[in-house]
Amino acid sequence: MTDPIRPTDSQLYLARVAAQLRLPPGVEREIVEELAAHVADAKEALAGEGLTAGQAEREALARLGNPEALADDIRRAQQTTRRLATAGARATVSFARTGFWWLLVSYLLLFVTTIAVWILMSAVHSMLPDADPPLGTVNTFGAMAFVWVVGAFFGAREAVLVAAAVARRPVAQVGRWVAGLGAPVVALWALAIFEAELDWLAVVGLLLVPVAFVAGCLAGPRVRRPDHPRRRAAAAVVAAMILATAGAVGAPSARVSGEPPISGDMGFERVGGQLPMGSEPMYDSAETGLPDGTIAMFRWSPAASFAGWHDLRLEAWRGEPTGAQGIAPDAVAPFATAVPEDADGTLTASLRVQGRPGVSHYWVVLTGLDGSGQRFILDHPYSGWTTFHGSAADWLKGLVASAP
Amino acid sequence: MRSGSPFASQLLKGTTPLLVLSVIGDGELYGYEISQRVREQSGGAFAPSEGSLYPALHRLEADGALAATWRDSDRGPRRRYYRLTDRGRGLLAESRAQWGAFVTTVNRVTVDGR
Repeated sequence: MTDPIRPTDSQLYLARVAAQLRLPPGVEREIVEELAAHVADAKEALAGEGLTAGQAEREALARLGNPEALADDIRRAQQTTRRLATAGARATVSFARTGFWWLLVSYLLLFVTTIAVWILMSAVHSMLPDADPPLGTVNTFGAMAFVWVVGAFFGAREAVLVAAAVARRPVAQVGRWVAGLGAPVVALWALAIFEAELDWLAVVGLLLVPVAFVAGCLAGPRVRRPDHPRRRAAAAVVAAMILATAGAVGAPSARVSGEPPISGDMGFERVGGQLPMGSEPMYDSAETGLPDGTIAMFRWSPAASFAGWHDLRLEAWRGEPTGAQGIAPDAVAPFATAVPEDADGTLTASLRVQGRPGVSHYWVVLTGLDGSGQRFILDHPYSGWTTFHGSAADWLKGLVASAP
Repeated sequence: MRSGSPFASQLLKGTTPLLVLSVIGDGELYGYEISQRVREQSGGAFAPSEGSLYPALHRLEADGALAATWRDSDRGPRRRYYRLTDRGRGLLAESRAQWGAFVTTVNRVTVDGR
């Protein structure tokens, strides 16, 4: 009679096989089940030949040989090069398909959530007429980068699970392989190849894309697959909230340009003193922001109007990113400076304002020193908008280059 | 042929995939049945070691020569049935031809050459 607590020889044998297999759990279960059926058949046949139950079991197991050696042979038979190649192809397809699905869902949820928030804020605003304006436009590029973060994480996780199942290898091992092979490619794409109009939020999002990819690779089965409708919905809502927040953070509420009046609280005292009305140099000026916004050019004539002023400079200052009037509170120095040149009696200078990381709204000001060495604003400030177009790597390089 | 001798064991090891593919043929068999068929068809002269049978089956399946399906059994546990794929049929034909050539060559040396 079998002891209900003590495991049988067959159970011990199969446990040793299972411990040595080191294959995906589903595959291991099937192999052990197949061997268990084989042992049961062999026992029955041997018992029919006259062996006792115990003898039949021992003989059936003896014919299978050493359990560890059997497990090693089966594992080697499972892990073929053909399956590895197939796993690579299937993982690539899974990454693209699942990543795109999450990207699409995240973006749609972002869109819907943003509209809902906007409607809610508008309703609140209509009840409070003196309140600040509601949310403006969504920071599309920043939000899009976070959508990619979501896609990279779930795409990588699915790719690893699929590759492990196809290659018949442990998920943790495949996760390390996919992370090692895929992360440089994903990082290269996110940081150097992909180019768009970027702001800091988009750059942070792009920097997080390879991080999310690696996290997805290493998460493996520890993260429960969102296959249950409730879990899927919960994951989608969390993603949407993150994205909506990301979209709202960088949302400009209004846009201004031209020559606004300078008031005392706009931060121009950091640029230079204001000349009293009527004491400005007499000149004809032309201020041109080129249509593509790449370069602002300024000309003043006659140059002789600036006699008595020295160390003239054309300075570009970072403006309020939200579009509010004035110099950005944390701007203590111009981000670009040019020295005007006297060309046939016309003072000319140009500045490059495009491609500056973190600059979306700028002010351009002509300044000079008077006889006492005090710097004054000599021409009305000119403001405009610009965008950074390039890769995240370009953005970071520009940031380093513009560091004081 | 005594399958327990080292020489027979080595021969058997190399021919296990051919024997497995041959006994499955156009049918559908599970592991234990395959080992029994080999034993029967060889007149009990030899049977593949049951320890080498399953690695061989799994390798043939991984290579696409066999396809496997779980089937419930009227008695006992469910079983994993193997059948030849098109690739398996091609491999069987190729292996048979190679085996025939091999036997002919060995005979030329060991029998005709005496």
